[in-house]
Amino acid sequence: MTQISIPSTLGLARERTHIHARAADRGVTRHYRIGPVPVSLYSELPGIAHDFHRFYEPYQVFAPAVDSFRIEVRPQRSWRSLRRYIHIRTNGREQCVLRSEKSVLPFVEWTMNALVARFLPGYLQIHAATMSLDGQGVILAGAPGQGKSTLAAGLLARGWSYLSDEFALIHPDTRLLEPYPKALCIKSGSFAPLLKLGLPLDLDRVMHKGSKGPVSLLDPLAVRPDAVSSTCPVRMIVFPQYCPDAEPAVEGISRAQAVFELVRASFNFTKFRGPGLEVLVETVRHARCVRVRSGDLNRTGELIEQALRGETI
Amino acid sequence: MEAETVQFDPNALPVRRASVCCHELDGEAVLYDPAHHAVHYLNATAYLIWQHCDGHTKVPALLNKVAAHFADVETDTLIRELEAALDRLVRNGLVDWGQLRAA
Repeated sequence: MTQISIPSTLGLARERTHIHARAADRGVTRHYRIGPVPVSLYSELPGIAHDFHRFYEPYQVFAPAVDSFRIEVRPQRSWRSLRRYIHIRTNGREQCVLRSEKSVLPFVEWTMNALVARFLPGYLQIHAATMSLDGQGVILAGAPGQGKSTLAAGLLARGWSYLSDEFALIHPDTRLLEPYPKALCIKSGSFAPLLKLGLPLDLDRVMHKGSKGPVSLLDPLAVRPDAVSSTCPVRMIVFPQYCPDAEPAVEGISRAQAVFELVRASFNFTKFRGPGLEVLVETVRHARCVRVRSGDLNRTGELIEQALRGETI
Repeated sequence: MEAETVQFDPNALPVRRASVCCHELDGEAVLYDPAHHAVHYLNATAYLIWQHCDGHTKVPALLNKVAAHFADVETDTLIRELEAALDRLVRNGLVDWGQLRAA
């Protein structure tokens, strides 16, 4: 009996390997246009292609743009250790090599962002989350770790519309904010407060993103089908500072100071230089500028809404 | 904080560097210096000093003109702080020293 069952199991295992090998040979390439960002993802890991598609299916296009950012995900065995590593390449160049499949999707997103920062020339780019309320755009700008994505998710839960959690893309001619509605990357420290707000965070799919640790991606369209904003004018600039135990507070800052901070937070100011400063000055001229000490997300959201209506500053 | 003491030639004529581009916003300013690809933020006081650097006004007169906007501050302290601010404008390459012209 035993002798019969073992070859049978091995046979099944061989067959499964064979199926996987064929899938890997094929790979999957799909094309997307996420806001102004054209992306083609080729993945030899069907799970990664599937997960990426789950978030970005509404942005799928069926022909690649000529300037599309091509991201490739390929597993390869190290010839030295025979361990399997996953390579992420863009336009043929290696971006990162990962051990765990759980890290791949956040790093595909990271790679996409790096490509936007380097190769999307038409927009002045600020490191910021961008949201809108009643067609009024709000830039949440600041250094990493200040809770931009968490605050953006908190505002999303309050009915705001979403543009991006990583980039404020300002068109230099119209000075309008362009949506780049990638999934929000939420760190583990923010899971509990966001779940409390009823946001659909998928804790069964927690991924690992290097120094950020465990993260989960939040699909804004899963919050509301109309959650993504169209282009809109900038009406407020917020510099958030996350203080978990402090009472949330809003304090006005001068427009000139806000411009200076935006230059510091810009990814590509050196490309625009003098004309870029003019764009920022004219953008900020029509906006309220505040620093926000954010803590409790609902209270912080209330304060930002009051400031946007001009009730507190 | 005590402002550092700065010595200026009393006959020096500070002048805004012509290549620097200035954007005024609510009484403050942001400047773009194309020579160094640098952006500077000037608060209201620094912007007042910058505006008076016209190449015709000597340092003591300039400082007195600016000080006149701050009637309630003790003069010596104020002048020292204004001198320090002017010195920073000079050191950041935003203000040059103009030449006295012979009559």
